[in-house]
Amino acid sequence: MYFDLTDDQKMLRDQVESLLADRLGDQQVLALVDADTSWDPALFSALVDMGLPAILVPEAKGGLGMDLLTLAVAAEAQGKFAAPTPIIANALAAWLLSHVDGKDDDVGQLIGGEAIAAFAFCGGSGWTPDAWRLAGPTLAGEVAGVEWGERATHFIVGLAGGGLGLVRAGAPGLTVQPQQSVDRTRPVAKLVFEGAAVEALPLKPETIARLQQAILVAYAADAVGAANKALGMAIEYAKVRKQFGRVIGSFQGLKFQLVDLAIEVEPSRPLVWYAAHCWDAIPAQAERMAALAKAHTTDVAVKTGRGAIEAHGGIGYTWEYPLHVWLKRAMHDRTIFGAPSEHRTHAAALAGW
Amino acid sequence: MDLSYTPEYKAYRADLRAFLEREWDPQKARDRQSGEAYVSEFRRKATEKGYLYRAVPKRYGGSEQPADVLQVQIIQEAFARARAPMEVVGNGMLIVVPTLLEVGAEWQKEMFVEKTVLGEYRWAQGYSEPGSGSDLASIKTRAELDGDEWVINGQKIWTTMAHTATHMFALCRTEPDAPKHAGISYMLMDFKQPGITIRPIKQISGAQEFSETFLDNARTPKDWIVGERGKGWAVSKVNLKHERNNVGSATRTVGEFEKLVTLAKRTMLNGKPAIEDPSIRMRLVTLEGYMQAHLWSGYYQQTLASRGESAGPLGMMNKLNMSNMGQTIAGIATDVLGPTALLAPSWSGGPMGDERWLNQIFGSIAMAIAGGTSNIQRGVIAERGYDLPREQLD
Repeated sequence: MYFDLTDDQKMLRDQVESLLADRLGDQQVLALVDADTSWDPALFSALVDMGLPAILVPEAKGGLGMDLLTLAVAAEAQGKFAAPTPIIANALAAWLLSHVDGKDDDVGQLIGGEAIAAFAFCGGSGWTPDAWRLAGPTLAGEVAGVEWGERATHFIVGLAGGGLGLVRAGAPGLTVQPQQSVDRTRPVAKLVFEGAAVEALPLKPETIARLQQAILVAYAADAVGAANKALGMAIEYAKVRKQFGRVIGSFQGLKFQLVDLAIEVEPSRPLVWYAAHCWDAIPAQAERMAALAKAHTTDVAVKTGRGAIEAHGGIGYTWEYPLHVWLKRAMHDRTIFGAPSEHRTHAAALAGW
Repeated sequence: MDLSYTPEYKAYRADLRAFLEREWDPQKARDRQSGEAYVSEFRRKATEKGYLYRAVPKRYGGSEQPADVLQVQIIQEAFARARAPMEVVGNGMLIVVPTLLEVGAEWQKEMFVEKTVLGEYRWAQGYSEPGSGSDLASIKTRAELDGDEWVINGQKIWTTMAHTATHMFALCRTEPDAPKHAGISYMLMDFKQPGITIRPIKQISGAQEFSETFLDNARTPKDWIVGERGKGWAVSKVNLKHERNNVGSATRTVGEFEKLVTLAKRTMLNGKPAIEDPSIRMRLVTLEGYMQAHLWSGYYQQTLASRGESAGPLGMMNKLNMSNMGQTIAGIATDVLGPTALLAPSWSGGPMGDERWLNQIFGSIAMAIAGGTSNIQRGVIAERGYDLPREQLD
């Protein structure tokens, strides 16, 4: 009975965090958010070089053959540093395409960082397969909420009936419209299909289901990282900011508000670890725990981001103070691939309630 | 991550399950004549095997097992599954024994520990006073030396199980001129003596689990002080640590949650099972997120503890989170119960239906008070967990 990361996972966490800490200080993140694009090719390459997109891919397909818990550890670090990269999407798409014969080159490009993946799942009214409306062989319609759509080379598109298809960037009949995004560290785009050809991917339904579960766990982990960062900033600020002649962190009113955030943030990490572990080892629990974890941690993360800003007072509400980056990161995690209420409804149904 | 047990632990669990299968018969324990003796004998056997009283040395009636949180977890799960009794419940095992083992004199351990383990000595707690709740160090109960005895005067409150107690452990002011925290001694005394009278306190639930205790020239021998005279505050901290550990387990919350789900499945609300009500479902599943986070955080803490590592602030949050979830459970249960929530439970031991949930509904308030209020917990987490500066106190 060992409920913790392995030494290898801890080492990976430390390496990823150390790399991100070097390149993404709070002011650097803010500078990226202020720029026309937060795309940072050097950072993306550095994360690729660490092997993150290869984590889930079997060794026989050129990957590292590691588990989702390991990817979740990497994803939490992305959230903690608000890393503006599609590295986790590449990892998940590489895993997915490793199930399809003849896609070894694409898998290799996703692992090697020459290709960038984006999931196009939001069929207007929702993110789940029953809301997918696009039908092949040529697609007509729109998909919103496509993370890093402006940079992606490989679009994994949800199709009517619950299947997945592949459309490559630049395909005739596909227009990518970048959108003004709340989370500028992961901008979203709208895809407009006007007769673009789609390659249906021959995947088993359970593989598609597992992809969705893994996506939920990855965003739950990202949210835990963002929540911890926001909470940490609020606690540190409370130790230095003075009002009424004392540091504000000595006032019980504020102290208790911060604790009420912390007691929800801290236990969220073991929940995500367990959800990831279910995907890895306890299949009967995986779908439900992924839904519960995504709902719970993203809810907590938004609450924490809001509370952290409130605890800062006016400075927290300015653009020049970096805290808003993590609130927005959490807001993105919460909404993309389904809001907490949807996942909770699903989890209740899965329990047979 | 590996949630399975190693072959050694699996063998340990198999042995334990076989032991319970062989030695524990709930039917015999329920027997009016011989049940109590049967339970005592079962506990003796379980102690002999090393399942109970693991932290208590053999010479004081314990099983003296090396610390092993995984074994403890296996034992708790197996006993719960078999509905077998674990250690004698009460302040004695939770507080007095660990405190004596840590700081008591040798003769005190010999005199008190084994009898407490066996349930012969039952301990009342004498900490809080009417004027001293969260600010415990402000206690006023005084002990003055008269020859070879202390003479004690004052009043204690929230004394649990006072009607069955044989002894009391109490904080008393022995050095009236010393500063607040430095003047307190941790004293033991006979509870059945002319200088001690009790008055039961009727709680909001109608039950009477607590009493007020009046000390009018109560007496205790000069050397019935645990630790040094005037150092009782530090001794009581040993004590509070054990109390917090005790309430930190996820078992209670998980159990209440499961009962609540069962209640919602079999209780009709507006013509269909309450669990099918969208609002009830949403509240239950939202609560489950907190519950699962708390549960797995508990397993993580156990893994850390098994390696002797600190869980940091996370380890300080269990009681507050349990209290919060208890309140949420109470809110959902109230709505599921419908008109039954208008009924008070029987406190005379009569048969009860679902109105027994009122005990949880009121008890969840008590949980946010007893053993350090939720606000005291918040202060501990903020100051010790996150190094936020202390509020400026007197």
